[in-house]
Amino acid sequence: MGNSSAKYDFETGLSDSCWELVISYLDVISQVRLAQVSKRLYSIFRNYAKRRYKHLDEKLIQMLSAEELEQLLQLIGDQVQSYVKYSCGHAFEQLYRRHFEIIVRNCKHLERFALYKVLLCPELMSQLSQLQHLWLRIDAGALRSRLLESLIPLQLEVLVLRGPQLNAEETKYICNITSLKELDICCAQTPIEQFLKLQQLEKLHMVMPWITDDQFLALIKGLQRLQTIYVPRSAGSKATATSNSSVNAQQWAEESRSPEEASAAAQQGLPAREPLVKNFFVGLADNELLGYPEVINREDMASLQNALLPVKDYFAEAPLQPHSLENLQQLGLYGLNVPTDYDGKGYAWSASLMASEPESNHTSLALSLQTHRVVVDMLRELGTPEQQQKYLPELGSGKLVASDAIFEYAPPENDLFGTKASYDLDKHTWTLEGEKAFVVMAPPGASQLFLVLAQTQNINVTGELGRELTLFLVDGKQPGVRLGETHATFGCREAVMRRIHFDQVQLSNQQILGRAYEGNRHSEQLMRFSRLRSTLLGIGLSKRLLNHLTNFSVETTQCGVQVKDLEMTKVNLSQAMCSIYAMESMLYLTAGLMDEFNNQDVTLETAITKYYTLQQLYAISTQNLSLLGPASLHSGQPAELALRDSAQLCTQGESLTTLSMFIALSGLQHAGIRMNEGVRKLRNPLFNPGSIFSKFLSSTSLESPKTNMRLAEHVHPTLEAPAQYIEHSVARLNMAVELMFTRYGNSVVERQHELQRLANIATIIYAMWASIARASRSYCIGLPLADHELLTATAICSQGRDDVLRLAMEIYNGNYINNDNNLLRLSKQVAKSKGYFAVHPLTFNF
Amino acid sequence: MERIKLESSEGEIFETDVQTAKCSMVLKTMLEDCCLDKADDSVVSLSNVSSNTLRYVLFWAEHHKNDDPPTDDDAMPEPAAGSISPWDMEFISKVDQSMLFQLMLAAHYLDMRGLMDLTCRAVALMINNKSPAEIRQIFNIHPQPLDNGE
Repeated sequence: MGNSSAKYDFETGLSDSCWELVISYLDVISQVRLAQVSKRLYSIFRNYAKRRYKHLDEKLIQMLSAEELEQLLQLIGDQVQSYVKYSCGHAFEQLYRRHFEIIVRNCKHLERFALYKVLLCPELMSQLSQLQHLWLRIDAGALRSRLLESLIPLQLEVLVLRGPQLNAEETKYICNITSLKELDICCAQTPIEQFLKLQQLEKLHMVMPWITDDQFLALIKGLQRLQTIYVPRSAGSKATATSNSSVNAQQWAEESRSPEEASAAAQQGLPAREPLVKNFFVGLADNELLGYPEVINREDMASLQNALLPVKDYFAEAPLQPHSLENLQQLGLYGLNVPTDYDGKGYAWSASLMASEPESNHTSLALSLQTHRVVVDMLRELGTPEQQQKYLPELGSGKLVASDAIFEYAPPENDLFGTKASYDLDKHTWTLEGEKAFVVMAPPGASQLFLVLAQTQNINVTGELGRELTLFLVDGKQPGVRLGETHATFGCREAVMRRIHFDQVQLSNQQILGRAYEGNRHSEQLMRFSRLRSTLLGIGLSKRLLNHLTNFSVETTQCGVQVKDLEMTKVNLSQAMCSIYAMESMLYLTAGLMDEFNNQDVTLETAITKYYTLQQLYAISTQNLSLLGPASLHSGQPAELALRDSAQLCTQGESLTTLSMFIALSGLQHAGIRMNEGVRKLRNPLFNPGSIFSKFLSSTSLESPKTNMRLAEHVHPTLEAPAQYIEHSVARLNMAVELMFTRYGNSVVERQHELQRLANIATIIYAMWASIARASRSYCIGLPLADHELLTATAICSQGRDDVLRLAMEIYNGNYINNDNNLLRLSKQVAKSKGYFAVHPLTFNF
Repeated sequence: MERIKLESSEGEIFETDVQTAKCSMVLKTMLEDCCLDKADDSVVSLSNVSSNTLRYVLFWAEHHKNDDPPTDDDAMPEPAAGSISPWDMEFISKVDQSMLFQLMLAAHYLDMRGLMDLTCRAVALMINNKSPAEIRQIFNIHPQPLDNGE
């Protein structure tokens, strides 16, 4: 080293702290290289790493290749105390094996260890003698057994295992790790005596579907140190898991209910809870409903899957051929929801939806089948025993096919329907007169039953007030029923829709479904059922579109780049994935609520599920236009057919705007009853200065609302942030509702644009809710790709939070700041000029 | 404006305003605690800093005299927190390696966090993405085998 260079000898001239500062500005890879330069730099780096790299986390590890990680660990491995790698970013098993070997070889003092999807060598595991915390995801097999066996000599305190259920032998190994304080597992059997060996246990989180009440109590009583116990709600253990929250174990042992009482309740369906989404409008969230419902128990699920096999095979083999009535009858597709007493399959909501999934690849077919099922649902709910006896067996076998006849081409100006039924007091019969449009026809060979909604005049009430609706069951063969022209529909062309004329059709009192003049209430029920069932069509179609689009992007290369690698495509595909995930979660959450609780109010849930599904379906199908280009509109191509079908579904039954109005108004109606008093005070500030004052003083604001719904406690810890987003969104919805009441009072019903915003907010919140509930369940019981479900749910919630905040802000700002006022003013001129009013841009004015 | 006189290792006197001098925590403490007499022509002697370096230091401090004073936590700065301002970038790019080294020492000696930060970043930029051999070449370090604890 020359004298001149010694003047600025960086290596020795600079103090340790200078070097540490330099190191802190380097990325890990450069740090490792620097440490290899000289002894001094190495020791400085070790010193730095002792603080900085004591805990190797996900973010850090993700940046390094296996070689780089090895170099880093060779330098400082013995200082590492924890190593955490949950996600399977680039899931190459070889890499993980390598990772693991490197870690075991270098990190002798490791205390905490978390690794995802490992091919572990049990022999190596036992070398980590200081290990205290272990977090693993591992598949079932001999390797897992050996691994668990090798854990016994270690003094583990925390063990978290993800993956398929543990078998009896593996459970036994775990129960021999007596030093455990915290355990989180999922096992098939519950040898309680074994578990009682774990006397140090303080926290227990387990998914044990077959645990009985007695076993559960024995566990709580036997484990003296137990502080918290978390048993996710599942079908088999409904009685034990009255809630899926953490409870104080000892307290619970004293208070626990008698098992007989609880299981009796489980059989009949639990008492209804407060409506979930309606309460969002009041700012309440029932956190227990975050447990995703498991209404079909394990055995029933197995037999359901078996029963579905032939149906799946049939549709897989014959994807496009026209389906003959005999085939469909043989597969039992007409009797899914017909009770077993009438020779049907007797599936409840969730099961019948699952059972109709295979057919939903054929939107037209599914449309007619769902229409049929909705009428069966109505008969089950409202039909008299005689009506059920008369219609259900034939409906179940498919000899009789039902559809609803509600819509009309040109409803009269001052009435809901032009179809009228008048009662003849002497003959005690009804005479039906009028016509209905867009009625789905039965396949040729079956006779048809129509459910007709007609205008009737209540004879006990005169005038306008007595005009009520009534539902009639009309046989297609009755004299006077005449089929009109076939509608040339845009989509779903295989489902034939026709106009039906009723010319003086004579009906008896026995043909009224439900009660006369109660048609309004009944038709709401009808809508609820048909919304739920038509959602399934939307989901099937969306999935098909996404799969088609993904295949296209994987197989196609443009300008040397695979389409799937374009960022635009990536975003589009992921957004579609998120949307479908949310739809599906909402559908089965809603169906689960209907199955699980007696008479649960799911009016809003069903409406929202349909609204969201159709909205997103349309978005996905129009994405095709830009990605596939003109090819997407080639007549007869899958993309074209799907686009047509999705457009048809968007108009089937009710329009999206009507649906959104319905959502907002139902929510407001519910909220109005509850918030009456507070709003009255707010609208009359002079007489209630106190309430106004406290309103000003309360620190909660739209941007940072204060909430205390404790949703995060009811989902997996990784979903804490999304749960927080939901809390904030619910609070924002409530603030928006309160504001609208205060600002508009009764005239709120006229502010349709604002109402649409409210409906969108509620919809987004329910989508977020259902998604995290589902993802949390999947992750807790270790379903395949559950970590990606977590990511999906997180993505949905992040997007949802932003959307809700934006919409709530628009409501909050009012029509002068948001654009509403301009638009409303413009519309006057548009109406006045009967359309576009601006003159040509090149016009001269002289 | 109050002035303060600084003496470099070569004995050259530099006069600067107090605000500029306060970029250095050492001088700041000295000014606040020792109550240098205003009338007094006392000179602060900085025997570790050469005239040339001090000129650079003062030039830098002049530009940064109105910056927020550094917060008093000794926590390690998060790597890559913030970025170098354009002025600093130009300043540091005109400095050769020897001066950079001197500046680092001076910044350390005078406890000037901002300058320290800047110079360390500059060194880090030189090292980033270089192999150990290249780093040795840059800093003229003789290769020596690593045998600690391996």
